Amino acid sequence: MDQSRRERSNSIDLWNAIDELREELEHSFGDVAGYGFAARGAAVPGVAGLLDWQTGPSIDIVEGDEEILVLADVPGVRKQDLDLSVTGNVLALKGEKRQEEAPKGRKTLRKETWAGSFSRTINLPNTINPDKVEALLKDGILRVRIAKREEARKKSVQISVK
Amino acid sequence: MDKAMTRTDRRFVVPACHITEDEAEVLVGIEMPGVSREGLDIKVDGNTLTIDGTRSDEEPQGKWLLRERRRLDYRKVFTIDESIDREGISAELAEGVLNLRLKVKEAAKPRRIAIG
Repeated sequence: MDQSRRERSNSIDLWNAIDELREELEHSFGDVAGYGFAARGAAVPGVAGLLDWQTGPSIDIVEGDEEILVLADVPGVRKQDLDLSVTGNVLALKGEKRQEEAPKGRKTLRKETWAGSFSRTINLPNTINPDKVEALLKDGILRVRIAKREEARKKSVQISVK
Repeated sequence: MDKAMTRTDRRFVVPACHITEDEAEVLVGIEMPGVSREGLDIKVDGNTLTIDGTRSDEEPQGKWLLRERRRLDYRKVFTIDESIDREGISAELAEGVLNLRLKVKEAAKPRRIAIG
C-alpha cells in the first residue's frame, strides 16, 4: 500500500497523467483496459509476470466527514467467500474467486479473467472507530463503511458576527 | 490533461471476458462490477453483438486516499459468425458478472454419419 504518495495534493495531476499514459499503453497492447482483477497482466497474453503485478482486487479509499469508505471490485465473488476483518486501523480483505471447472470437451477460446484466492491489507487513518464497520456486497462491488471516531469528525460551528 | 477534459467521444472500459465453447453453445462470461440489470444493454445487429454496461453506483464524495478503480461504463463488441442462432442468446447477471449463452444453429453442429 502506497497511500502516502497519493496524499500529496500537488502530485494528483501527475498521477492522472500517468493513468492516462498507462491506459493508452494498454490499449495499444490489446483489448483489455486495465481494471480490476489482474486484467492488466492478462491484457498481453504470455507475458504474465511482467505486467502482472496485481495481487488482489482494485481498491478505492475515500474519506468523508463522518466515515471512511473502502470500495473493492470483486466481480464473481460470493458473499460467503469473502472474509473481512479490522485490527486496529488495518482492514484485511481476504477472499476467493471461484471459477467452475470447464467440463470435458469445452474449449477455452479466451480467458482474461482471473480466479483464485486473494488477500489485501489496507492501512486506514487512525481516526477510525473499528467497532462501527458496515460491509455490503452489490453488483460485484464490496463497499465497506468505517465510521470515524467522534472527536475526529469535522465539526462546523456557526459563529455569529456581532 | 486538457485532452481528457475536451475529448468529446465517450470513453469505455473493455471488460475482461472468459469465453468457452462446445459443439452446442458458446458461453461468455463478462466482468462488469457496478452494473445492475437496469444498466445492461445487449444488442445484436447483423454480425455484431454489443454489450453496454452503464454503472449505477454513485461517485463517492470526500478526500480520495487511494484510487485504483476505474469508474467508466463498459462496452464490449463481439463479431459473431453465421453459426450462432440469433434468437437463441440468453443472458444472466450475477455478482457483477454477465453470463451469455449463445446457441449454435442446428445446421452448424457437426453431424455424425453412421457407416452402414
